[in-house]
Amino acid sequence: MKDIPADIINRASRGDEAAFEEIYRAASGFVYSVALRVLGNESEAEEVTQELFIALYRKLKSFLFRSSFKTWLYRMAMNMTLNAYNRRAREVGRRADYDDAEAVAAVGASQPDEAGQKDSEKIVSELLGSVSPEHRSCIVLREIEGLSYDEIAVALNININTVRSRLKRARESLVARARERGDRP
Amino acid sequence: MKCDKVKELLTTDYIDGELNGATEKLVKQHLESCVSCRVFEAAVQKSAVKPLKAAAQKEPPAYVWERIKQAVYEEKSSGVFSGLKERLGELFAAPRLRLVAVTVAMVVIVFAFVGYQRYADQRALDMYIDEQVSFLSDLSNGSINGGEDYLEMGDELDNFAVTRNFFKGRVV
Repeated sequence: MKDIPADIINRASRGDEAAFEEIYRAASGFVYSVALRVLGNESEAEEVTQELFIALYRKLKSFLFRSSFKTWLYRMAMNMTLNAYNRRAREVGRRADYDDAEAVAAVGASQPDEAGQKDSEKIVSELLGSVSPEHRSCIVLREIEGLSYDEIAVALNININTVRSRLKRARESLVARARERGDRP
Repeated sequence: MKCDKVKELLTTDYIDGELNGATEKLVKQHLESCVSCRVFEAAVQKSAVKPLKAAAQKEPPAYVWERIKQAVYEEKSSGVFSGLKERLGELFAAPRLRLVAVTVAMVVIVFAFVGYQRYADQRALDMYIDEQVSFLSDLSNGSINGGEDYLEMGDELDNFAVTRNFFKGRVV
């Protein structure tokens, strides 16, 4: 995410429309990408982006610069994305059923003979779809958005060692999955 | 450094550049001499790191901004009370403020209830005294007939008069 100068945030908090648009231009790619990678659905990612920026507009006045604006936004984006994920899981039914269905879909879509035909976007979706949402959030923030362990810990409101163990398990699971498919390093 | 520890670092801090210089050097030295760990590192890079790192950041479609703009500017132009609910919600979202608000509300409710009870009791007493005073004065004036029962009441009537004077004295 691009850095957003404090004066832009101040101006936006006073109702400056151009400044608010500048914040949107700097941060919407991050918010949308994270939501898209974690949720795996474009319309849900659009909803999260829309919901977040409307909430941000209302909350800007109460932003006191006690933490960095980026960190604040990371946390809002992850909260809203995971809320959307949980909401969808509740709608589908019991969470276990949903995760099972999702895992089966991911494995079913990744047969060796099909893999070579898929573009990189599909491969990314498959890889992310094969790990749990908690592990996926860590992987997305680290690999795709390039956040440090400290930043991931703050964004997800978890301990830094939990970040470490989630990344470890997620990567081990991806390596094991590749081995099952017969991939060679 | 043993293979288990190296493999753990290969899935976390080493691959993410979070190690300090000394530990990173130890891992590199181990990798130079250990084929198994080198194979594992290549597998992690190929299956769990490179494909994801290559994924580009996506931008939302243009209509998302149009919808946001419409929603926030409509809210802004809809008057001073727009977003009041959300702002009050945010204000009282803080645990300490919420506690203060609940306490104040409870104190106000208790005082209002006690005050109303006292007012209701006083009003009922006033009404009762007025009725009794009016009745006894009508009776003594002879403007109403108290009936045979009152003529036989004797002491009770005297007591009524005492009560009337007592209440009159209090009320006046």
